[in-house]
Amino acid sequence: MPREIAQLLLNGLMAGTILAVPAIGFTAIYAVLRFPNFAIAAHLTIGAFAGWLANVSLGLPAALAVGVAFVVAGLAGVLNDELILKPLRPAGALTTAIAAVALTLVLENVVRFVFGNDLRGYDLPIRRDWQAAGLRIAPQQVHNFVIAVVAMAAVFLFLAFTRTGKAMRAVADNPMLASVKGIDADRVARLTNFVAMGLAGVGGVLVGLDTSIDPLTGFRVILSVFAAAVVGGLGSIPGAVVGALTIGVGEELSLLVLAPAYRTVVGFAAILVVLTLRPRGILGERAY
Amino acid sequence: MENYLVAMAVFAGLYALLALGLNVVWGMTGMINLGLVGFFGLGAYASALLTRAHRAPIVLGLAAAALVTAAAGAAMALTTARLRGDYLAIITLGFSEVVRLVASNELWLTNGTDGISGIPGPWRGRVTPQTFNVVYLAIVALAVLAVFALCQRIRSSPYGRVLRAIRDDDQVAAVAGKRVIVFKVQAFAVSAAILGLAGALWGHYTSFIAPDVFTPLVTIYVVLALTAGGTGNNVGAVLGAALVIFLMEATRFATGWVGMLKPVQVAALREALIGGALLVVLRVRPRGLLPERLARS
Amino acid sequence: MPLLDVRDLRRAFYGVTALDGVNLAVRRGTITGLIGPNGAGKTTLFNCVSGLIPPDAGRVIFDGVDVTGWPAHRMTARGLVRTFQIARGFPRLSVLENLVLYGARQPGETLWRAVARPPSVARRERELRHRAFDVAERLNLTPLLDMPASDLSGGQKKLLELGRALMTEPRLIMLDEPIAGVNPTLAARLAEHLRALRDAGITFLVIEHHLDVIARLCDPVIVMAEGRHLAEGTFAQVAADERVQAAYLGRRAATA
Repeated sequence: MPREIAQLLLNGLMAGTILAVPAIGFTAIYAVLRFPNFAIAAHLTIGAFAGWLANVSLGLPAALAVGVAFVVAGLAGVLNDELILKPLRPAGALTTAIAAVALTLVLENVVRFVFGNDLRGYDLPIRRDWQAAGLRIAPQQVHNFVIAVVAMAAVFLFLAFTRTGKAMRAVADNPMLASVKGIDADRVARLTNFVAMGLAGVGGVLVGLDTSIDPLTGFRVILSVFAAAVVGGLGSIPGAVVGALTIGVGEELSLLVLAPAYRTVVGFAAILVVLTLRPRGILGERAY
Repeated sequence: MENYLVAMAVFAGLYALLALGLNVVWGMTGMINLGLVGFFGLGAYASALLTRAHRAPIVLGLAAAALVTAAAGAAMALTTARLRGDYLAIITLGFSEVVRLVASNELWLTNGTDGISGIPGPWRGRVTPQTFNVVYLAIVALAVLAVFALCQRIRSSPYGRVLRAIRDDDQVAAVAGKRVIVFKVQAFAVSAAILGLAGALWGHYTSFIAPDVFTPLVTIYVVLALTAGGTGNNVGAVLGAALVIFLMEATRFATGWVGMLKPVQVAALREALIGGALLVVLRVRPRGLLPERLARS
Repeated sequence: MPLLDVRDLRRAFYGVTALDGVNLAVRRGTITGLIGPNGAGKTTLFNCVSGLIPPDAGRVIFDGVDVTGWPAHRMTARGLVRTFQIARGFPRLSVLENLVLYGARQPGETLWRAVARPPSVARRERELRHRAFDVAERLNLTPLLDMPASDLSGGQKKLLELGRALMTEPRLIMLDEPIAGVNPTLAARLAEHLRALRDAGITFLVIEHHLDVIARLCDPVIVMAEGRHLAEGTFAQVAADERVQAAYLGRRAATA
């Protein structure tokens, strides 16, 4: 039993790390643009399919496919925001949130129109699991884990050390002050969308490498993504990571008591518990 | 053809109920419900299970559906009442997925993805299908009329005035002396009850429900109906519902003519059109065909 | 006994202190001014006293009753109502609805009565409408009653704010910058209204940056700085106070 729990913990940390990637995207858009952008689901799917095309049709290795997914989903994110969501933002955060759901429906069906409903898998070598101290781990899991960590590290470095990254944080902290300081809010919004939706796209590839993809891939994981962001504190990027690890581990541990189909319910339950007990999330929502 | 038109009128009526229900929260109170299909589904299952497995009368099933969904709605509104609306958006969207998951997996209760068939309908089997159709249309029309009257009464009362004040600024509403949380929770419960009632009526009409019926697409249909008709306006909600049914059916025929597409592509095209229509309406005519009007002194 | 008594009120936001133990009292029948440099904590004080945000520590006593941490709707029912700096309100309600909404004890605001409509609903609605007509008459808002509040000018919105506050049968009205953005003619008229209302028995606590208005209207004047009570007296007294001058100047020197 302790070994089984240790195995679930290990799996949960791996899954949580992958989940953290799109969760950072969701929370970053929230921090800068102040609305829950549900279209993160569609961009996750777009990234998954872009990566799949790169990997299966062009024969690129998975690591390069991740890059392709980032760029394609990021550009799609900027385009969709400029054309569709940005003009609606003056109508309010909730109206924009509704539009984001409609946008997701459109994009998801564009993918379905082109690729159909079939499940697709990435081209991966089949390798034996590694074993150590009685714990099993698949090389692919480690591979995905590394991709996720690298992607997150890149984001942290970008936010911490580049001018643009600092500008993004300034807008997230206090949009009024940022505009006084001459930071171009539109540019920051575009960049945020690019990075956030790019991360969603990377998340899509990671899901694809882990299992398989179809037009609903994004929608299926979105509940866990929300949960990660809310549990960690909406708008807080370190919070999204902590939240994602919490949800990842929680979903795995739930296998001890719940049917596998209910994994995603854990996320919903976690949202309810956190909102009841600690409404601003584990690390606290950004105040301003 | 006649049967088809009657059936479409029934569906338009059911969508009118959904749009009226959404209007109570989104149109009047400014609270979002992105998972209204979850309440719709919950109501459908509650009534179907009660009337089919326990042979309860249909009226009791409808009442139970309204009660169960009202309780679920109240719980959600209560959890998020003190937080910004974004949280309610996330929670309701999550709720609808949970309803679908439970419906898909609790085989003993819901028969899983195969769904529940043989849900009783009033006088079904004892009259011809044509007569049943017409009778049901009358029942749905009655329900729409009753709910419409209820919503109009709420809207035009001092109670509705508070709801509209909360929609504009809930902090100032509190300073105006209103217990905002009570109004929010009640409004959400009333709205959820209407959605649940619509779900129950749906099941008793089609005699079959399955998790597939309750996809996020339905939520978009209803939001589209209300937005196109006129958010905040009960007449607009009913009109918008009729329009959406018309649009859905029109696209069905339109895509039927495009011969070289595969069925999955036709389906994708229709769904994309619905989503696109909502985006266009939000952009071009955000207040709808019948914009909400101010009360006169 | 003062009408409003604030004792050692404290509030911090995410580690930043906004109120650092404020002590102040508002005497009955006064128009008390509240001034201080930006960031002195005036608006936070309003928020804590009016029940929009709970204080971390300290006490608020209104008319002899400890009302610390009461939510806004209970404060209003008790007779303490506030207005907002940037005219906030209900843009999609008509001016009349804006006024009537603020009326207390409305039976039509319970769900079942809203639907069943017993006679008490219409009776109270009639009373409140008459009250609203009176208030509108007093504030020269009568021709605007059917307009959506969003269509009013900045000055008219300020009048409407005052009118809404009057609808609650208040004993203390806390005004957050009632003159800001209002043209001089209307400002003078607003000041007239406030004096007349004070003579009718309503007490005011007024935040205002236009010191000339404070000088003409308010007595006493309370000065806050850095989340504390700094000085109090007639306008002339506080204006002559070196600590007050230093607080204003220091602020200016720091931001310049």
